[in-house]
Amino acid sequence: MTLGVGILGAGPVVQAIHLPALARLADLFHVANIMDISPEVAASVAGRVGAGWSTSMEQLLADDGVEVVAICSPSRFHADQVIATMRAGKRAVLCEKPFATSREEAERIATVSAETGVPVIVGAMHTFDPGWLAANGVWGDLPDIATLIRSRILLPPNARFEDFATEVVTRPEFGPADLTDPDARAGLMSGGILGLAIHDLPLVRTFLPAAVDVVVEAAELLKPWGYLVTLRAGERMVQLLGAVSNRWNPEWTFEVFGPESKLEVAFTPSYVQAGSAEAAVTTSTGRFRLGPFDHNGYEGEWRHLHALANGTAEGGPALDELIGDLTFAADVAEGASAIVRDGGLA
Amino acid sequence: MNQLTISLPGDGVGLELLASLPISFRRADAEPDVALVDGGPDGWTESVSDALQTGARAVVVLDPVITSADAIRQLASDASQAGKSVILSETWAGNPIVADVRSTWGPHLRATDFLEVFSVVGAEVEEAFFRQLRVLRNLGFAPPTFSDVVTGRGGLLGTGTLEGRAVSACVAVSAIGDGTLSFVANGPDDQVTLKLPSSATARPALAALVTVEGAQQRPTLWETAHRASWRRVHRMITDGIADVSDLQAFAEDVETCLAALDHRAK
Repeated sequence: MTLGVGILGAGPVVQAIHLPALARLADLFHVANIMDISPEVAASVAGRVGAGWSTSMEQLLADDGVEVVAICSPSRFHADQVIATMRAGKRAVLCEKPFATSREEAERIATVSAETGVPVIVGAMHTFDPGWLAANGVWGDLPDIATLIRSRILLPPNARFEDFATEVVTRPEFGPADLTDPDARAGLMSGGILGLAIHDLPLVRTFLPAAVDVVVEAAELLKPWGYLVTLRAGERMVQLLGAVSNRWNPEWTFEVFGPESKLEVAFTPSYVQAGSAEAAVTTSTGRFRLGPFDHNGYEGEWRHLHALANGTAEGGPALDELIGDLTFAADVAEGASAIVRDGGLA
Repeated sequence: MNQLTISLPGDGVGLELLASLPISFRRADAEPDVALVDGGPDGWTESVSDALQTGARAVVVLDPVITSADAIRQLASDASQAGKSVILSETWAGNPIVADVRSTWGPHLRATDFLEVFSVVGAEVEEAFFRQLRVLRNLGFAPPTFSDVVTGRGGLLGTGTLEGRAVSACVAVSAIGDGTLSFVANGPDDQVTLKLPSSATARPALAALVTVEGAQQRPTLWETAHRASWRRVHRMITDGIADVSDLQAFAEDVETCLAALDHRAK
């Protein structure tokens, strides 16, 4: 018996990522209901998978065919929708990142999850990527001895991948920002961190000591859109680089250096079903290659959600870890935004 | 071909280059046409001065390290007045693919708005940072201005600007580094990438250009920076050219590097 999925929000991420991922998992899930505030969009997107549709969260949660819920709405709605879903007695929740906009919201989620026993996972897809998980098994003590970490994400606009993944019916529009406006600069930086860097910030955090404060040392906006940020956590240094341009070649890498070892992970772009990351761990005795595997982190998170709903899950981040990830991302965004608020564009 | 004589600094340094250019050069430690000087020790400028004063028509300096910019400029002035050449033979910046890319893909390099240089080294972080700046210079860029440089046990992270572009310099410290420098110039439509190997072997550099039409590579050149510098000095002497421009640019880059390191956050 497959699990019925309800999805809150029907934008490009749902159309081009989650529905294609669920189509590959037809032995585990079926889409029962899709909600969007636009009835045309809800009906159109639901129609392609033979699901019911709703225009409000309440309608979707009232659908008994919905057993697990994916929350893919704008982030300001996430916390309330996660809590309402748990209170509605659903079996598990997958919430897109960030799963809350403040530590207070995140702690409310944790409290309700403990009360109701409903598990929550965050759509940090790279933490579920089989290439990343395989590397975790061989990187040894690198989290304890890492000295320099680089997250490097250079991508074409999303539409290049969305259009290979599916036929998208709606897309949000973005206007040019006024970079003479300090608030606009700060907003761009914050958007870069919470919209793009956030994919790999949980990975970065894996290699930082828990008890050490993270300081944003430098932040620069990149043209036409992007960020370059330097962090320091005690003796460890972190470079976050993200940029979107018109180039067709994506580069999404994550590297960690230790005194005598190195981790390299090359992720596939989001949207396209291009399989997992390829990872390599290099030590003085050799180089271990891991992957590629046949599915990506999105599919991995759905598989994990299924196991959680059935009580068979092993591993996966605990809610306090997710709160730590959220707080880390918010602190980096705040620190980097403050720097570019007073600065400019290179 | 006009065969030139060359003196070597000892310890076998330069013998493999001599073996690869046996028609162009032969070894002669007394009154050579060209002197090969080790640029490693601080004060290499004095060794170059000595070589010029003892009759060499040109000096090739192997991987010169950071030293006094004033001493370098004085050396340039002295060599120029004497009508002699000083060639800097730098592992990364002097790799022949650098000049090749500069001349072939110059318009693409200039159309970029974000430059990255990255290398993994076992030690000598500041020298590695300086050598990254030297690659930018030999690709045709003016010296960048660094607003933030952070150093630590893990290496160095520098953030700067260069003629309206953002610049990222990163040096990681790890024993597993293979001595390769990576350079990436990112533009709105184009990207130029370079991978410059160490000079321990003649492993070729990789150079690629990505445009909206696709991607292309430059042909492999199975030659280190050092062999290329020997061929260059041979051409200069044969053509009667005296040149100290390497020294002048090097001095300016020393100042850029030291200025960046002076206000780093530790």
